Amino acid sequence: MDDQVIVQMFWDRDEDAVAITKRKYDDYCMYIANNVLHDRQESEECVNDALLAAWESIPPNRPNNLRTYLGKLTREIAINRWKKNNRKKRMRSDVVKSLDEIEEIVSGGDLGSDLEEEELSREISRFLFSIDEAKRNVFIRRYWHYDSIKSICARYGYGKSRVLMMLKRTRDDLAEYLKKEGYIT
Amino acid sequence: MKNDMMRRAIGGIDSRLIEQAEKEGITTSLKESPVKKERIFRGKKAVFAALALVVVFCAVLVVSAVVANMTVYQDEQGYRIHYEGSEDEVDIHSVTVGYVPEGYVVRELTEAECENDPEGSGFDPRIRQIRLIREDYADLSAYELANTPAPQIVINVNRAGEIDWGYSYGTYEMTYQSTINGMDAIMIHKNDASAEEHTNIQFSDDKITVNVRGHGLSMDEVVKVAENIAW
Repeated sequence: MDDQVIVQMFWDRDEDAVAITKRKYDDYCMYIANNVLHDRQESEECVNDALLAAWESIPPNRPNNLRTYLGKLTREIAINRWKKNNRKKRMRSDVVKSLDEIEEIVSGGDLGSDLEEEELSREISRFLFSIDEAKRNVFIRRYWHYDSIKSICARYGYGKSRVLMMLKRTRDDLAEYLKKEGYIT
Repeated sequence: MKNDMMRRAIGGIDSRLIEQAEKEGITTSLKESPVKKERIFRGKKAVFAALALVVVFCAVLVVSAVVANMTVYQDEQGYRIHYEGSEDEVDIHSVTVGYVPEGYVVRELTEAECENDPEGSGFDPRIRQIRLIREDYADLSAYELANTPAPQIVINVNRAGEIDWGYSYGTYEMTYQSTINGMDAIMIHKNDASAEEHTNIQFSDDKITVNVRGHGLSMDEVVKVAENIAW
């Protein structure tokens, strides 16, 4: 079923929308959740929470891309769930590393106190659109999907050192970009 | 926390970026096993590495054969190369460019003969003009030789230490030059004025040997000298 039809069902408060969405995107959302939580049961609960969040946020939102909208909800819920449960030991070490790497981008500086999250997202998007596609995809797989380095290597057929180098350079370039635009002071 | 804001901001990036990153590679199913793909890739790597080794080995064999061939004698109707030193820089070598065919004689033109040859370039003390001619034409003058259909080989050889006609390329130049009889002539030039270099031709009853001595002459150039001599 087309995503726009499903979104309209949400708008019409048709409860079948949730069941249809789950059937269509369960695997996708489970993949994202499991990348963070590495626990099937926790991931299932996370996906259910994401579907509830979708029900509660559509309307007023009308996402153009239901898949990525759900992905974003799942991602955020998974991280929050992990933080709430404080299960660092159960969290995959590569996710911890991902978060540390994200921290590196703003290390040595500060994000403006009046900076809106949406504005920062737009700037990061602008930056990502401007870089090489291969680097962009690797960056997103790592810091949006929380894929492990091994998984990224398998997906694109790259060696480990190449992936690590691509991520490092993209992080450095993003930091440089944000500093130049005044978002990191 | 700084990384929280950054992390959430990355989470909110444009959906088109996420879609693009999800298009390539494996599916997002939990059942997918990326490890399996990696193992297959390792197997392919091993095959390519083995093939590369085989190719290198064959190349080494071929090169060895070529190198070995350069040090062995050619057949008696061809030429033989003797050399000392490395292949890159042959110090002393002689090239037997061929054999005087039966019924032919070797004759070096005198100064007078060169001067009297209206078809030639006159006498040039830097050049030895040598002819291999059929016995029955042995007594003809250079001019007469130039105007007879007698088959002959003309070899003009620079004397030691001389620059030949100002050619500035290469150390030794082998060229074909047509005589007025339409026969190919071979000129061996020495273009380098190094005093240590000289060229001479030795003729015996049965063979003509060009002795070439020089520094920095590669085996390729030596082979070229031999290969360009033709009867």
